[in-house]
Amino acid sequence: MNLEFEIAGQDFKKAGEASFEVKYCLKRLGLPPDIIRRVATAAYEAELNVIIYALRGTMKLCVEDQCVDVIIADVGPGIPDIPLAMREGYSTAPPYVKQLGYGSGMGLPNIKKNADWMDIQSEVARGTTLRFKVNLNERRKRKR
Amino acid sequence: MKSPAQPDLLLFLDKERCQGCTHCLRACPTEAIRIRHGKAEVMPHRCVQCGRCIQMCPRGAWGVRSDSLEKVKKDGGAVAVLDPTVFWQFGSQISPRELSGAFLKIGFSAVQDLGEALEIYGAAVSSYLSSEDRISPAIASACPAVVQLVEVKYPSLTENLVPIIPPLRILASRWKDSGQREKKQRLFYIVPCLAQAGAAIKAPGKGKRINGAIPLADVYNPLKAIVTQKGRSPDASSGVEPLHSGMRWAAAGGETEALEIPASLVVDGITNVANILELAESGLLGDVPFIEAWACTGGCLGGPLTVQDPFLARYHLMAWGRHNKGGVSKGQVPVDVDRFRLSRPFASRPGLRLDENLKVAMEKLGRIDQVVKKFPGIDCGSCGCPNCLALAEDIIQGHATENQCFYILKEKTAHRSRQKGRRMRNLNGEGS
Repeated sequence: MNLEFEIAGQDFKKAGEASFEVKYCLKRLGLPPDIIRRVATAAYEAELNVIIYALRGTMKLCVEDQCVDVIIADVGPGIPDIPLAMREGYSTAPPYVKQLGYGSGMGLPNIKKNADWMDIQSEVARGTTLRFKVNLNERRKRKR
Repeated sequence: MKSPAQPDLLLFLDKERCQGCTHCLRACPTEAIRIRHGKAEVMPHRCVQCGRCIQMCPRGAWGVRSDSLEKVKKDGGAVAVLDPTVFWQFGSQISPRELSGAFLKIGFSAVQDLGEALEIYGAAVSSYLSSEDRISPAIASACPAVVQLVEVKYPSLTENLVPIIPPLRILASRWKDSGQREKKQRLFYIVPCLAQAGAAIKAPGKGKRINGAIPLADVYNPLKAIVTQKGRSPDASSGVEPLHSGMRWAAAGGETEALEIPASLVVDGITNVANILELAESGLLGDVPFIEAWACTGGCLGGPLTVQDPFLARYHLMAWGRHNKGGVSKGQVPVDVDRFRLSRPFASRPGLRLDENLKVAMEKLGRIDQVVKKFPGIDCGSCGCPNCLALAEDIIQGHATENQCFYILKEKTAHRSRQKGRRMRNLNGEGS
């Protein structure tokens, strides 16, 4: 099963639409609540990254027997130094984006925290493809 | 025991009145309604009993299956359990005490307000909110329609619901324990909404403690007659002064006020509640510690079974509050409020699930995605589904056909008549 949702760059008003769609799909599949929450959180962060930095992108949802697989591909500036970008608090978001309350440099670390597997492929001036998986058989206890 | 996935629905449709319009269809927050064969139908596993359909119907076709005042009168020995919304239906014409007296005149043998139960409930919620094992953001569970909305549509938030026994059940068990309950006395909850009626009649826990529910709208006229007659003096003495502390729970924001929470997110109206829950589910509410959510606009005062306009009702509540600032009467709250924690936490209800089997559900979801592309995407509702996606889903589930879509049918008809025209021309020798 493969579904695809569009994301428009700079469209902050629509922030969350793609990841909310993904979430709705997971609910209709009847997946466990903690899986839904983790995918939803990670997908929202990834969607925001496209909106903040890229021109446009897509979010692909693929559910397999063992895991939920989400691929977010964008056309945009790309990430020159991925390990640096993965650091908590590191952000290259312009000031006006920060004024909107986004781009605090927690996005990628937050995706990593919620996903069981994550991968970033990026080409400067071309775009970035972020992919993460959440295993269906791995339940996490929620932090209080 | 009945499965929680199929709650007994008190909602019913008067088929004579239903004209198959789309008002309720579009208003339903869980897309639980379809129009089939010109009449509305509800899918019980999706219904959260918010009562939006009742409120939106221009012909009053939706109603609640409940007990009648006639029966109460006939059988005798009925105790009216008064929800705080009851007191604000008649403006300043009558005081809460006089109103409780009026209930004795319309066939009840005693009255009991919900004030003390609300106080105990509030204390138990406060205790939970300050405990170690609380989950943030905590979502208020005082509104049963909000609880059901979470269970059906926001399954990952069920553990955020405050796990305290509902006020009505607290009242019922205290009533039983206090020995006030004589053999023949029966409790009838005067309800502002469908969800509370459901909670009362479903009577959770051991033994049936609440005997029934009577819509507030059904007692409105007989009460109004007494209020306007105003023989006044005898009523005031026979009535019981309801606890003042419970009054504010009638309006949205009342729980936050009662619990003395410095700041909480107060949201009312089922669509607004759904939006907030959507954000909460994706972890986007930041440091919000508590969400006070009410399915109806204005809180319970906006309930589908109330009569007075909720904003006017709230004004009367506020005006009364200003005059009664000094003498806030309080009930007896036991010390060990933690025993009012729910023994079983809230559980999700798979109302949106396409299939029990994940593989089948996945396959269906893929097919729905293909089918929905055929439709115009204008969500007109003419097909009897709330939107094009719902029609696609119904088709895949075998409950609908694509010819229900007006646009598809129009195109097919046009195509057929073009073909017919061509055949006619060929027959007449005009063809190429």
